[in-house]
Amino acid sequence: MQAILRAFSLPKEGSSPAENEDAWACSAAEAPSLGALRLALADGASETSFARLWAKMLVRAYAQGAWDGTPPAAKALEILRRRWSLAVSRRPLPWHAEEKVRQGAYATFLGLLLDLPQEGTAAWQAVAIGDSCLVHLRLGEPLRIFPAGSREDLPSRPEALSSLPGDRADLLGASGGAEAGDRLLLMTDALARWCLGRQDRGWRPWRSLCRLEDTGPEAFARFVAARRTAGDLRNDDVTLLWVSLVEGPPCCRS
Amino acid sequence: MPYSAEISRTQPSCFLFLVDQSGSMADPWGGPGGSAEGSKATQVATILNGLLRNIVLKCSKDEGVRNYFDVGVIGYGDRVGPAFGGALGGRELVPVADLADLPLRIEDRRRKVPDGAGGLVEHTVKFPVWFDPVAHGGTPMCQALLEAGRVLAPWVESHAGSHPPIVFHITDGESTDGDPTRPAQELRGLETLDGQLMLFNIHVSSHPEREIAFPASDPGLPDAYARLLFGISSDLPGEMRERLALEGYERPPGSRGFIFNAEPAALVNFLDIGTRPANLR
Repeated sequence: MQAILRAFSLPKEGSSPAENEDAWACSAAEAPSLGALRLALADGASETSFARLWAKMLVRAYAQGAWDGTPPAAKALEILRRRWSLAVSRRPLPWHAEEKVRQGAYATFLGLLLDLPQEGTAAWQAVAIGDSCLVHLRLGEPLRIFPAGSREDLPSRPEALSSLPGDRADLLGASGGAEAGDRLLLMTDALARWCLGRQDRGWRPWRSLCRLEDTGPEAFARFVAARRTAGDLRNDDVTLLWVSLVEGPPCCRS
Repeated sequence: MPYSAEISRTQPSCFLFLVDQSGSMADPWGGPGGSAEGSKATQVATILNGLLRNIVLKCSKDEGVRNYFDVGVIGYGDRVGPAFGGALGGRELVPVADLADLPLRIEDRRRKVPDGAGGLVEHTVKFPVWFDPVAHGGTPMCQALLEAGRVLAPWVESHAGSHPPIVFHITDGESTDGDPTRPAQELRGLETLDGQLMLFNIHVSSHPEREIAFPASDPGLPDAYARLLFGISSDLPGEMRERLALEGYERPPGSRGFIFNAEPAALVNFLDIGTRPANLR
């Protein structure tokens, strides 16, 4: 089975791309033919500083297999935290930035590990903390949504992974099987709220998203802009990672 | 829905502080930790510097301070007018980045903070000081409320889409120029398309009474000054009560923006400028 990845990410309206605190990373960029895909999405909390850096460090570590979000990997997380602390302390900071460093950076996190078989069912495992969501679609309808099931499960102040040494890191886990033709979508909270809000009302947001599957970043930008203008998509950084599964020798493409 | 406007650099909101600097503020403060050497004026300076610090921290990002708010301070005592000192002297409203850059001084203070493992650890924290305690003259509260209206009327005109201003009035309540009810009503009448101006009264009293935060009625309040300040405080709309609940202040409908002898430094967190994690300490 093959996994085809498409990634879309936009900063909030009024912010520059350099201010986008969503980050994602994928193992396929480095090892496309391993028969496994490690994909991660993190959303830096905007009320904390150096959160973009922290989000990038988390997703890279997950994609490289250096940290998988499970309790046995706690040591790997502490190493990341030390690296973050060193990186942000390299230069003198004004009083407020120094205090924000002391408070730490926070990011929600969603990681997906997908084993691609020669034939049959692909096994996926996911870990998450916070309000980014994984949606497993079959024939355009959701088989599983993780970690939230409905709009009400998405809090306005989500739990997040902090960069502070020793802080708790209680990630939730889920697993499942996927077939050729299925799609796995990873999305940050603004888009997840939009989708789940519509689903709760009996609408089919997944059809709107599926129409984006074979388009490019311009179409995604138009989709986001139209919904922001209508006022039903919160003005926030927004990222969608789209994995399509197709028959073929195991590999990952993007 | 009111009080839901996005707060951003292109659509900032505004905090205005009205600070009682009258002679009666030299009297001892009655709240927790109050003592002979702890005057109400000292407590006012502590509250004001703490709130200003939290506003700056809320706006501080990797590259600097983002101007999500305009901030002003009006003092009243000997005179009524802008109360910033030092390089900010004479300015009525300043962008928050200027506030961050130009405190009077920055002190190192020791503070115990959670260590993440259930204990406390002592840290040295940078504590900027914009205001020192002042206590001189009468208490021209009515004049101060009118002055706040004069400063904020053009602001709401030019920021029609913004979250409306929030006025924090820090006082012992002992007005010497009459009943402040009418000027307070006029001030609360200012509005943007997102809602009416909010007036919060922070009562710093000599009365040794327990802390009271956001009451819904006045019979339990300790004196006439508290009841007067409760009476001129804004009702908390549902949206704001929901945000306050996230800060640990569960309040019923009818609650007002009134605080008695309490530490309100967390108050600025009920305005959202982005994602604030639940586990942020």
